[in-house]
Amino acid sequence: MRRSSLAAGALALAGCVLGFRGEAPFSAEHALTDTTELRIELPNTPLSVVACAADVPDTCPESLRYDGVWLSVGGSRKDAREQAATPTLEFSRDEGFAILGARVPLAVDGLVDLEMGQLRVPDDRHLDLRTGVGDVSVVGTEASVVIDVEIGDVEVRGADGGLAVRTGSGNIDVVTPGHAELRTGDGRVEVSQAGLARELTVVTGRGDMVVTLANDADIDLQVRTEGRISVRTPSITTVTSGQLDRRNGNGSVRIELSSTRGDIEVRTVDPG
Amino acid sequence: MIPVSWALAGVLALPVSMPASAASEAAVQAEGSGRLVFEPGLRGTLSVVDAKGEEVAALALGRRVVVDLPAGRYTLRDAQGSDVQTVEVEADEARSVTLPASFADPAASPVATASSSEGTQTDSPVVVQGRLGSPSDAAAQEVELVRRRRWARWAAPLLSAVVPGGGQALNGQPGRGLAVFTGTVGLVLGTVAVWAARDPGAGATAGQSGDNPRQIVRLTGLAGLSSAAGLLYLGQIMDAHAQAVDRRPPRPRTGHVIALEVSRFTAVGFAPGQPAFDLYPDWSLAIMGQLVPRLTLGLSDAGVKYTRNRDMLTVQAGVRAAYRFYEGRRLWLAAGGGGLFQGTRARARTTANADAETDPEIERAFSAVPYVHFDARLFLLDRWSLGLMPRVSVPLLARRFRGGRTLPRYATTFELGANMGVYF
Repeated sequence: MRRSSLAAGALALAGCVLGFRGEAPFSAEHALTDTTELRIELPNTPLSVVACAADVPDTCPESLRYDGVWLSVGGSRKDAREQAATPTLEFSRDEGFAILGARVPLAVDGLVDLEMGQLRVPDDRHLDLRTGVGDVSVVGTEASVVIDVEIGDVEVRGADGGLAVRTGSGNIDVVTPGHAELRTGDGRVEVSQAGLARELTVVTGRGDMVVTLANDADIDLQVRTEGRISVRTPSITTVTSGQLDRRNGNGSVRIELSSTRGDIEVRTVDPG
Repeated sequence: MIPVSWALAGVLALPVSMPASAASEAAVQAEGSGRLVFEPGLRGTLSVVDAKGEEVAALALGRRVVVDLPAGRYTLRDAQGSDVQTVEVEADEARSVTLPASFADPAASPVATASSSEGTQTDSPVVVQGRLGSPSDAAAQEVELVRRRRWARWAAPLLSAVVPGGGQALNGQPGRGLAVFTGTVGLVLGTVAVWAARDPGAGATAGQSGDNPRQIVRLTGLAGLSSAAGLLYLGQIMDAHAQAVDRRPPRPRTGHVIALEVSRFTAVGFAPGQPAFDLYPDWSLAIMGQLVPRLTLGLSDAGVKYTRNRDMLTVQAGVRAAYRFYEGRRLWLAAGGGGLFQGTRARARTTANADAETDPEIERAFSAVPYVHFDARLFLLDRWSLGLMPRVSVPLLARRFRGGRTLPRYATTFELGANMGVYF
C-alpha cells in the first residue's frame, strides 16, 4: 500500500500515462516434412525449444509446434485487445529451409510484446535461433544449433552436431557432446563436454569460465585472461594468470579459452 | 522535480557578496581614471551608462560603493531605466555622488542625498570632493569596489560550461560557485546512478514479473533528476554571464517579437510486456512569435526521431498558442494549447522472408496529438529563461518516441516539460 502510494505520488510529479493492457494467446503447428534446417527469428522474447526423438514418429510428429501470447497496451480496453490481436507469426519454407518470423505492423509497433511458450521440434532438425532480449533454452537436439541473442542467458543440453552461441550480455550454460563456439560480452560461461573430446572455443568479456573437458589426452590448450587460470586435469595441474599454452599428445583437439578479466577454471570429467 | 527545479531559482538568486579580496582591489586604479563614491545610507540600484549608451556598471546601494571609471561623462539610471542624473568623471579625481531623496534609506541618516525639490535629473556635474588618495590610502581600503571586466562576460559562462560553478568563482563568488558545482555534480551523479540501476535483462526470462513500484520510482527519479541537472547546468551558465556583466535583476523582454525554445518533455508510461513501464522522453524545438503583447503563436514541437531497429524515421512539428497572464520581475506564467503532428516511415517488420531478394516493404503512419499546457518561466538574463511546462495530451493516433517507444491512441498523457528560451 505504502509502495503503491509512493509510486502514485512519483507519477503525479513526473507525468504519467493512462491506459489499458490486453493480450491475445495463440498456438500453431507447421509441418517440417523435407525440412532440414529451421530458423526461428523473433523480436524480444524468451525462447524455449524442446526436441523430441525424431525416430519415434508416434510421439514426435514431423512438425514445429508452439504457443505463446501477444501482450499489448491501448488507450481503451477495446484498443488494447485489438492491438494484441494485430501482429502475427509467419512460417515459410523453401526447399529444406524453413523460417518462423513475426510480422508487426507499424500501427502497433512498440505497443505489443511477444512472449513465446515452449517450441517443440524433432531433434534431427538443425536450429538457428535469433531474438533480441530473451533467455534461450534448447534441450535434446541432436542436430547442430546456432543461437544469437542480444541480451539473455543461454542454456543448451544436446546439440550433438555442433553448437555456436553469441549473446551480447548473459550467462551461458552448456552440456554438449559436439564441438562448440561460445561467446558472451558480459556473463559467466559454464560448459561441459559430454562424450568424446571435441574442439571448443569460449570467449567472454568480464565473466568467469568453468570448462569441463571430456579428457585431456590429445588437446592443444590455449588460455588467455587477466584473471586467474586454474587447470586441474590428469596431465596438467597449474595455477597462473595471463596466458597458458599446453599441448598433449598430437594436440589434435583445439581448446581456446579467452576472457578479458574473468577467472578461468579447466578440469576434466574424470579428474584422474 | 518541481521542488528541485525551483531550488535552482533559489540557488541562482543567492545574494551577491563581495569577497574580502575585492576590497584590497580598491587600491588598484587604472591610469587616467577617476572614481565615483556613493556613500552609505542609500538604497536601490543604479546603472552607470557611458557616453556611448553602454552600461558599464550596475550598483547595489547600501554600503559605501566606489566605482573606478575612465574619465568621461556618465549617466546614472535607476532600476526602471530612467535617467537619474549625469556625472562627470575626471582623471585622478574622486567624486561623491549626490542622489535624489528617493534613494535615501529611511533607516539610515540622510547622507549624500538631495531634496526632491532639486529634481530627479540634472545635467550639472555633481560636487567634486578632493583628489584620489594613494594606493595605501586607508579610506580606500574600506570601500567596496564594483569593477567590470569585459573579458569576464564570456570567460565566466564559458568556464561554467566546462566546470559548473567555475564562472561564479571567476566572478569573485566562490561560495556561489561551490553551491552550483555541488548541486550540478550531485544531480548528474544522481542521474547516472538511477540510470545504472536499470536491469538491461528485464523481460528476458519467461514469466518473470518486475517490481513495478520500484520501476516507476526509478523512472520518475531519472526524469526528474536529469531535467533538474539540465536546468541547473544551463542556469548557472546564464548566471555566470549575468554576474559578470552586472548584478542587477534581469528585465525580461516583454516586448519580444520572436522566441526560440528548446524543450524536453518526459512521462512515465506503461509498456507492453516486461518491463511493464518505460520513460517517454521527447526533445523538441519551437519558434514562437508574439502577435500582440502577452499572446504568442508559433511553430512548436519540431523534432526528428530515428530508430535503427526498423530504419524508422519520425518527423514531428506542431502549432502552439499561449497567453501570458502574469509578468513578474523574473517570472512569467502562461497557459495555452496546441497540436503536435507526426509522420513516420519504417521498414516493415517481418522476418519470415528475410532472405528474399525483394526490397523490404515500407510502412507509413501519421499521428496528431492535441494538448493543453501551463508554462512557468524564470528569467536569469534579460533575454534568456528556464522554465517548467506541464501539459496534458491525448494522442488521436499512436505517438512515437525515441528508441521505438510508442504510446497508444487515446492514452491520456501527463507530461512534464523543462525548457530554455531566448527572446529577440
